[in-house]
This record gives sequence, C-alpha cells and structure tokens, in this order.
Amino acid sequence: MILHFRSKALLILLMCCNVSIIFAEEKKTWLEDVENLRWAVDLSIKGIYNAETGHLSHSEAIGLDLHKVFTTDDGGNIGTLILQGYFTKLNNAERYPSFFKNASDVKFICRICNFNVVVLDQGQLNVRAGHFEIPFGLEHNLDTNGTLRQYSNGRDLGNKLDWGVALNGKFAWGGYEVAISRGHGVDWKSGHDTFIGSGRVELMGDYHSFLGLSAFHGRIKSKSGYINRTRIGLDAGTQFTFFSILAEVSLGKDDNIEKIHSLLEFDLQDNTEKFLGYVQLKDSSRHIKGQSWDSIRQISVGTRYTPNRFWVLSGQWTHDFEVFDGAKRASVLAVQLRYRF
Amino acid sequence: MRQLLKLKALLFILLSVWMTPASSVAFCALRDPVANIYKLFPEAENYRSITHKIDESVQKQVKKNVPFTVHKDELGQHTLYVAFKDKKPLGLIHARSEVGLWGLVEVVWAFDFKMNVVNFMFQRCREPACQLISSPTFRQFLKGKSSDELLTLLKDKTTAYPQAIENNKAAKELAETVIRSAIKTVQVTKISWAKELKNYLQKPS
Repeated sequence: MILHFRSKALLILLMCCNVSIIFAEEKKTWLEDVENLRWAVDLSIKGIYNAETGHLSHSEAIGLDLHKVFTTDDGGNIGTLILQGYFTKLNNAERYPSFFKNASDVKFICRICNFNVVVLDQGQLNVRAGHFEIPFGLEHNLDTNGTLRQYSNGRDLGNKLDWGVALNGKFAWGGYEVAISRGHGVDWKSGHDTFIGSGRVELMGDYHSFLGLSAFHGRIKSKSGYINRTRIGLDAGTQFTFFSILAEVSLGKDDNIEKIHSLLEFDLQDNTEKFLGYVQLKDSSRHIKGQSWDSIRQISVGTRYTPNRFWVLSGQWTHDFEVFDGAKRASVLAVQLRYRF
Repeated sequence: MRQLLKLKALLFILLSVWMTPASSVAFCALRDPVANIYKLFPEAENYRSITHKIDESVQKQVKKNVPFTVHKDELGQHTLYVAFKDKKPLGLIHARSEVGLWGLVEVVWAFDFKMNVVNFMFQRCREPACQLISSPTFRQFLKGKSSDELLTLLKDKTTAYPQAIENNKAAKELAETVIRSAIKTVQVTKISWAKELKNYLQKPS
C-alpha cells in the first residue's frame, strides 16, 4: 500500500518538477512573503550495484529543506532555524544504516533540524540546539547529507548526526564548535545511557586552505552492547588552480580496540565548478589486543555534474582493496539524480 | 500508519508550495560570511540578514543599466547583510561569485548606503593573483568608487592599475573580474533591495 502510494506521489511530484522548470521564475508563492525564508523541495533517486555479488538496489528521498533567519525589529539577527525533513525509501538495500528496520524500509528523517541562537556580539558565541552534525573532521565544513560523496564520520564515529546542544563561534582566525549530544543518532529515543561530547577548532590559513583539530568521546549503543569510543582527529584542505586536496586522520579507541582512520581526497573542478571529479583513498584499521592490525582499504572515484541550480547528477565507484578478516569484499557503483525546486 | 500520515502531510506541503527559487546546495551548507563581515566593518557588533529573490526581471534591469548582467546560475534567493553598532546601521555587505580563471571567485563587498565601495575581501579565491588583488593598494584603489566610476575604469583602455597589477596579465584579468563583480553587486542591490536601501538612506548612521 505504502509502496503504491509512494509511486503515485513520486510521479505527481516529478510532473510538478517538469512544469516548474518552465514557470519557476514567474510564479510567486505565499511563502515568498515570509521574511528571510529560503526553502526548496529536494528529490533524489539513487541506484546501487555491487559488482562482487551482483546485487542491485535503489532508494528514493523526498524532502523539504527550510532555512529561516529571525531578526529583531531594529537591529541584528537573533538566530537561524534549519529544518530538513526527508522521507527515504530503501528498495532491497544490500547494506543500510541501523536506523532503518529492513532492506526495504521507508523512514522519515529530520536530517539537520536545529536553531542556532546568537549569544555574543561579533559572532563569538552562538548556541545551537536540535539535530546537527557532530563537529568532527572534514564533514563539519563539507555537508554531504544525502550525497554519494562522504567523509569519515559515519564509518569512524558511528554517529554522523545527533540530538543535543552545541556552542559555536567564528573569528578572523577561524572558528569552533563544541557539542554535547544524546548519542542516539538519527532518532530521538528515551533513556540517558548514552552520550557524545565532541568538538572541532578550525584555523583558516587564507581564503583557500584550512586546518581542523577535532575530539570525540562518547558511550554509544551497538548491536552487542555499549561502546566507549574516543577519537582525536586532524583534517586539512587546500585549493590550487583546478585542484583541491582534502585529508583527515583520526586515532582512538573503541573500548580496548585501537583504531586509526584516514582519508585522502584529490579533487578536480572546472572554472565554473559545474564539474567535479574526485578520488578518495580510505583506510580504517583496528588493533585487538594480542592480534595483529586488521584493515579495510578502499578507493572511491566519483564525479558530480551540476548543469544548473536545479539538477545534480552524481556517480561514484567504491572498491575494497582489502577488508577485515572474514568480511566480504565489495565493489559498488552508485549513481544519483537529484532535483531541487 | 504513522509513516503514511507523515508522508501525506509532507506531500500536501510540497504540493501547496510547489514553485520556488531553488538552489542545488542544501541549506545546511549555507554559511554567512561572518568573519569577513567583522573584518570589513571592525566596529560592528552584529549584523542583520535581508533575503530577497534575484529573478529574471532583475537580470533584465541590470542588462539595461550596464553592458553585462547576472548569469542565470546567479538567480534565486540571496542575502544582503547590514552591519550594526549600537543599533545604528554602518553599511552593507553582499557576497557574490564570479567565474574566474581557475574556479569561482567569491567576493564579499562592503558598501556605504549610497552604494560606494567601502572595502572588499575574498571569501574564496584559488588563483595565484588573489594575494595581489586583495592587497591594501588595490583595495584603496577601489575605495569610495561608485558604480559609474567603476564602469569608467573598466571601459577606459587607459586606466592605470597599481603597478604590480599592471605588469601581471593574470592579476589584471582578476582585477577586471573583481570590478565587474562590484558593478553587478551594486546594480543587483539597488534593484532587489531598493526598499531597504531607501529606509537606510533616510536614517543615516
């Protein structure tokens, strides 16, 4: 029933999209009269094929992305509200995050839903409350929610998003964000048996390079019980002509298991930045006491084409060079079509 | 059942508001140029955001006024910032992107309420000439200039840029890109934020 309804809904929305390409600039909606409000409908379809197993799956997402700045009558900004509500439907997924119930689940996710309130002048202190990205590593600057291109947070920390409170600020030298969150991830659950403390300080070298230092400590629920997870991380990025280099490394422990994660990315963009090509080299290593180091080593080669401000077409191939003992190797091709209107 | 209800509710909202200016980037990626706002107006305590749509009518009006206009990729919702001290407005900040030799060049402009250049900073610039163009010499060269004066600089083939720029072809190209950005920013701000500009001109700081 849900599947049938979803197909119809998608069809109607896609028809709306086609019409909106023609009329989007002429038609005015009631929401445009709301001061400092930006919003967009976000549709995406993703296909995934694992060449090692021959498994084919796809997923769709429909969401409303909303950004509203609140101001005083006679002065500056009070705060910024971001609400991103998305329905995501998996279809025969081979691997999926634990917040989905099964391989063909449909789920509502409030991706980034928080209010960032101005506390001190000159951007020195704001307080963010709600569902936000854990301030750690490259992801803090480069939001990858709903895209094929991903950084280490999901794999390394387990939680990419969490409910909580964060202090943040910007200065001429860079900025900071320090958060305390519930450790539950995507869903709001009762119980106070988990938590995450995290933070990142960023130094801006100039207008095309940065250096970030991050820390993470938390008690997180896993399939086998609870994990005490600690990490420190270093990330950096720089751009020169058509090229960018991004890198991150983290060291830490999951209980008594030592962990090292690293990622190195090379980007190539054209001067309009409509085309992006990238290569990511990823390594996740663990050391269980009394055993030798065990690693997953991957390469991802990806591309993104943004023909205009409505459409984004992405493709990515991720190949496992090496996997943990006993794990199955994967070689995954993913393509995604995204439309925002 | 609850999921289905949520899906229906979302669908209703989507269909009721189905036409909107879009952005290919998710709004969680939007960042105010906070650090640059306080570099451009160091005495400012806070700032106010004013978001407006830049649409095809603005594009046409800019084209009428100057020999170039905003690209269709620049249409959509954009934010103008007003810097404040003690609740008094100090000036305007507007960030705009231009296609450069090696990628998009994002310039954060500071203007007074008569739309004369106060200063500028690069938010993003990956060209080797960025250092030269963001030098105090070139910023001083543009300071106080109106849109008409900037247009004269561009049109006049005898315009003499500061010597270090004059002798460097890439720097001269970037200088012209930056001047074009200033002119476009003035035009777009005057047209799209006309009401706010009028209010601030009536209540000068």
